[in-house]
Amino acid sequence: MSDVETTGGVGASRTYGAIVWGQLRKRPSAMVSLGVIVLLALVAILAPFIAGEVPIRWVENGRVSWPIFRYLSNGEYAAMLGFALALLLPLTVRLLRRRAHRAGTGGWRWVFLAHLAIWLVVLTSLVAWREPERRYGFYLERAAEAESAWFPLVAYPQNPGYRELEFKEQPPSWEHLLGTGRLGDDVLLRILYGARTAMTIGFVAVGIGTAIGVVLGAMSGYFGGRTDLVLMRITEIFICIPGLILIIIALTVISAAWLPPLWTVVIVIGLTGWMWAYRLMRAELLRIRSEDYMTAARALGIPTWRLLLRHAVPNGMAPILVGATFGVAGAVFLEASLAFLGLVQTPSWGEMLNDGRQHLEYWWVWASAGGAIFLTVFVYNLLGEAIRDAIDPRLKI
Amino acid sequence: MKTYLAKRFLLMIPTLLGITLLTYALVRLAPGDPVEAMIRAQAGDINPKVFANEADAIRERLGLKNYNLWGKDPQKIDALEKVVNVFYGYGRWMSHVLRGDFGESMKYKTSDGSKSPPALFWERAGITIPLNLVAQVAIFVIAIPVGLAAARRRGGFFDRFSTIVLLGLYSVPSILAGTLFIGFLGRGGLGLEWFPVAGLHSSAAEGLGRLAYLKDLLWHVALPIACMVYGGLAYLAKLGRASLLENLRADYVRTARAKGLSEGRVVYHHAFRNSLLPMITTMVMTLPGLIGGSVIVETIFSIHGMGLLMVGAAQARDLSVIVFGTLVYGAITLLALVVGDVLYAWADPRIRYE
Amino acid sequence: MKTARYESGWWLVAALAAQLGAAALAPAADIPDFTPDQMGGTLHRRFNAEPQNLNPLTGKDLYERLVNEYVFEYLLNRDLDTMELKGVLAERWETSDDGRVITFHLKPEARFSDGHPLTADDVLFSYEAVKNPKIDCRSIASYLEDCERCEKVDDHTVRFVWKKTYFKTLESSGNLFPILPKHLYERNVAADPEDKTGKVKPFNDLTQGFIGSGPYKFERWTTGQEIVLVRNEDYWGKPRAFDRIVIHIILEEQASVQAFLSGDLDDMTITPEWWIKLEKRPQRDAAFRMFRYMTPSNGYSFIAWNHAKYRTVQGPDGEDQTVEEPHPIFSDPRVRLAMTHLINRRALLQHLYRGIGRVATGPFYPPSPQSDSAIEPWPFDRAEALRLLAEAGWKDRNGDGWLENEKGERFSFEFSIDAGGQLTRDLARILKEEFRRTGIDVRTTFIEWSVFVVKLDTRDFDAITLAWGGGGVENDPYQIWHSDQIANQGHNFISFRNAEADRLIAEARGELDENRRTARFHRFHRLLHALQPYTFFIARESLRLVSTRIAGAKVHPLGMETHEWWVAPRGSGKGEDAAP
Repeated sequence: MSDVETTGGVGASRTYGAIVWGQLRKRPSAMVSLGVIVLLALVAILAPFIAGEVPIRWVENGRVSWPIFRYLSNGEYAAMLGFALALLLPLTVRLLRRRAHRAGTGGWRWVFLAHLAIWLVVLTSLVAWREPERRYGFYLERAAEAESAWFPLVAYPQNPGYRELEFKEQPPSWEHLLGTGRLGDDVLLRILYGARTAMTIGFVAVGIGTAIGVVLGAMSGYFGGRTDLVLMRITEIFICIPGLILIIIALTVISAAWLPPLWTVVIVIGLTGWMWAYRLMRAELLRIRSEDYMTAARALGIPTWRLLLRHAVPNGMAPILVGATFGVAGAVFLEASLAFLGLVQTPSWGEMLNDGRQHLEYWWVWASAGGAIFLTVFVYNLLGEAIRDAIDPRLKI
Repeated sequence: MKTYLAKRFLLMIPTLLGITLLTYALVRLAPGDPVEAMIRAQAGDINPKVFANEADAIRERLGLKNYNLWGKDPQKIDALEKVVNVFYGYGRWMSHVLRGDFGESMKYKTSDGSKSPPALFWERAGITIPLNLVAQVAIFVIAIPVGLAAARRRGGFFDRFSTIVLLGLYSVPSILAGTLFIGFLGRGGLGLEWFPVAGLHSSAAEGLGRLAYLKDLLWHVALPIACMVYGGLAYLAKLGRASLLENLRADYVRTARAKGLSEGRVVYHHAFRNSLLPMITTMVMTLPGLIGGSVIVETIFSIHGMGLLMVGAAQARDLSVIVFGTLVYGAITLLALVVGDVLYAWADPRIRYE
Repeated sequence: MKTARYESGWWLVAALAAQLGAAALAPAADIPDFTPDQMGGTLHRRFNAEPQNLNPLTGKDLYERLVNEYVFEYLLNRDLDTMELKGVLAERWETSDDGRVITFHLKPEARFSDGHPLTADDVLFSYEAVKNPKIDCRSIASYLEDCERCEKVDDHTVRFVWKKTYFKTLESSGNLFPILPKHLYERNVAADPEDKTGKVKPFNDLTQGFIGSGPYKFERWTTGQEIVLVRNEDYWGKPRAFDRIVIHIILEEQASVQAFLSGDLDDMTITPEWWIKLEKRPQRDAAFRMFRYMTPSNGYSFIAWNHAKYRTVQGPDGEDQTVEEPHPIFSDPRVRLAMTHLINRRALLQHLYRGIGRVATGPFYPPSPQSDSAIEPWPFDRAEALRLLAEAGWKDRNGDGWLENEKGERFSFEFSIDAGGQLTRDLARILKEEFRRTGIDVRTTFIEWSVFVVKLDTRDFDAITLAWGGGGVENDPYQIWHSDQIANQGHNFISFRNAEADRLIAEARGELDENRRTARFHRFHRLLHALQPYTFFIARESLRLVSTRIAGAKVHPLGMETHEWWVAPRGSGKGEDAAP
């Protein structure tokens, strides 16, 4: 978060971010929500290890192999490593800062950036030239031939074939904890993989939207004048077209074959969902630009981009954070609506819900999907509320 | 204020133009030719020569024609030429619009056969708008008292409980809610069979007297309205609560209490009325949702409304309907924005617009 | 919309359904003599999609036919029980020995609902309208290609003269197109379709409100809700029981079933999944009856393999030319046979279709003599499939799990699916996975129906799945299988070319002796069985629900006929012999 520190009392000064975090920690609802979200993210990233047809470890004729790693796609690798990076990042920063603070240098940032760059290079090189395995391995069928096989918790094919048709529409049991669907697919497995769609849409789509909105809003709020006029009109244009319609039309235009369908939806939702961030950022910046510290910084001759990037924007991020959290909840809902209209072709909770609602008596299908959507949305809403209260209970965001 | 309003209204024009241009361009740029597809599907066997002429005529009518601006075959222009074509086509389209001709729908027609978008929307507006209005009123009527009560008992059990419950309701996807309603409260479903699940009238409805007709209608719209209402409660209740709290903390309330006014008068007569403003402004912002917001409910309950029209048109790339619909929606949204701002200025004399 | 239109869309294929034996949908039962207390009431039916238009000639889908069977009539219809052609508007007829000249004598009492008598002028007018190139009904007109002329002999006698001997001349003359009133539509047919501003609307643009000679009249069509027909009080023939017929348009099947169960609908068709569910319902037999039957018009579903690929090249004179090349994968019959072996039709029938229907082996109606019942469907056999593919050059040459040919190209194709139907999507999903397990890479794409139709016309696909419906008792394979029908966007969209098939078809068409004709059809059937231009999938059955509020519902060899139903007194419509 930003460098601007509030004098909260004697002794160590805390950043704005730290204050918000402190407030959040006091609220059980926030902590529980965060916990669930982290769990969902973990499930989304580690899905093949939890459910699937490829074993983690396979011993045949005395040879040990780890098939699952061959089958992971590059995207999955990137997500795993990226997540690990995201978890370790705050720790790294803290360590570096503490050392730099003690040593009295300010150069810790460059060291940090260097570390980040190395991580990224490692990540890309690991992933870019790799061709994941795609052949069908018959592992489940040949399980008896192996001396030892560690299958994921839910060992079942991701896509049903003739064999799986035999097990269709069964209620929850020990073999299928959430039952099976219309084609013999395991519901629990689909829910786990559906978490990926939900999380991707939530983070990436909302991330794109927030980024666009923040940038445009900051420019609009800070520079005012013609920039503001033009950007406001552009924003109005987007607001004035009903969201669903815009998305549907955009999907017909952008339905390119070279993009996996999930990412098409993600990008479209991102490109059409930035307006709220724009308005918030603009309002914040209108307020901030007349603050004393901004005047001081300008007087010091700090270039504009640094002003915005290091001072203004970070101070205005609080309501954005709230909005983004609610935005994720909204995006998950939106995905369900798009699945309902038949526009989404990737496995997702929305698709399962739409499937399952045609046949109410196979309640495990729609209840699981509906429950998953409900849980995710509820948790994000709770978190959003908690952050909003933590920032300033009197703030009418 | 007047100059401010004039300026705002004037600024609406470029925005509306922008809206129409954006939607027009998007629909035009989408790959594939919806007109050809439509004609073949509907009338697949026309003699090819007749077809080519007819297709062009329809394309002109719908604003989708590729103009032969460079003497080349319109099917074979490159990207740049296509872009210019879009603008040219937009210009011609708007010249029609300004004369009141909004083109023709590819896919839809009204009961008396008209294909003009205004007629289509008008026919369905009579269904969608009242439905959404009633839902909005219901939300208002339920959410405000809850918000008030929560504010009065701040921090108490009711406050926390209602927040969680309303938030929970808000988190239920409407597809699920609709399905549950139909499945368990609808006739022919699994549970209590109290309500009908499709359409707005029973088949014998025309023969009924006025009162019975109304009852039949209400019976049919109970579930759809419930579906539209349950999710909207949370936001308004929270807003009401926050707004009332802020007012209750204000100086004038303390003064009123010090003056010896009864608690009831303080709360309901003074604080409450002042806290209404943000809620009314919020309600104004839901105006645009009146025409587009209920797609899912309309689909699930087989209600022939505007939401379905817009979504269906968007999927079929039915240009006339899309452009007209977004124009109307855009105009209403812009209007709502202006009205909202004016309300604020009217209520709070501190706010000034030049 | 996703769920809606062609959900039974597998089951009721729109534009293509009308092609085979177009009029076979209006069979005739012996209308019973209704007693006065059986008369009256309203029949509530359901469509799961809206008809595009209700024009009796240009209307392309099943729904239009279902509505117009009440409003219009033909010269002949098929008897529901004997399946023979019998007269409706025609009292009697004579056929020449070679079948080329047919003379119909019209019933003098026949008249339209506005009172105007129906005469030979109207028959001639209707014939000429169909053959008029400006009227948009080429599919019907193609059956009249070989008809040289139709002439009026006198006010109540009409004669059709055909150019060649053709086994369907009687059917194509009398049971192909409905009889339209000349005095009402003459000017519309004559109007120029391109002239949109004239006072008279061209016939192609008329979409509703037609007047015919049938037992019912069109009252209104409220878009998205219902189509209402009322009794033609002035009907010249035997009156039907119902005063009104209301057809509700309900897209969602769940909502439909619920409307049916709560008594708002009397008659609807359902999908296999609902059939299974409703079979277990306690209310069955008390509140509704379930009918399951097979008729020629049900047709069959199939997976079509494109035999050719078309490319546009610059010709020598700068003009574009289309070049036909054999399809890199599916032009080889061994590959197609292998694909059939890889599709476990029995399992799919049992699981996806709940066992309702039969595995199809060819294009003919299985119970009919036209189909060779000795032919058994190819079994599901993965080993045999792999052997055939290897023979055709497709093996896993580099151990990556996928099949490649000698050039190293992977066996990969696009499977195009109409996005509307749930069953089709399920099928696509299962097949994609099963092919993957065999080393074949399938890309499934879901397309909207209108775009799908274009792809068929332009032959721009690798494999598709579809269904033919609306067939008659004896089908003429010419439209679909003859090589003449490849060009001009004919219905041979897989570009199937086989000299022997062409010969058999031509011979059968001109053969008036039924046995010899059937023998040729059997040989044709065996030929298709060997070559597998389609993988024939399921011969479908109809599933229908009728409320016990209605009496008289029963199944005939040619299906069910709402014209013979009536409102049962007090819900006693439980058996076909329910006494009033």
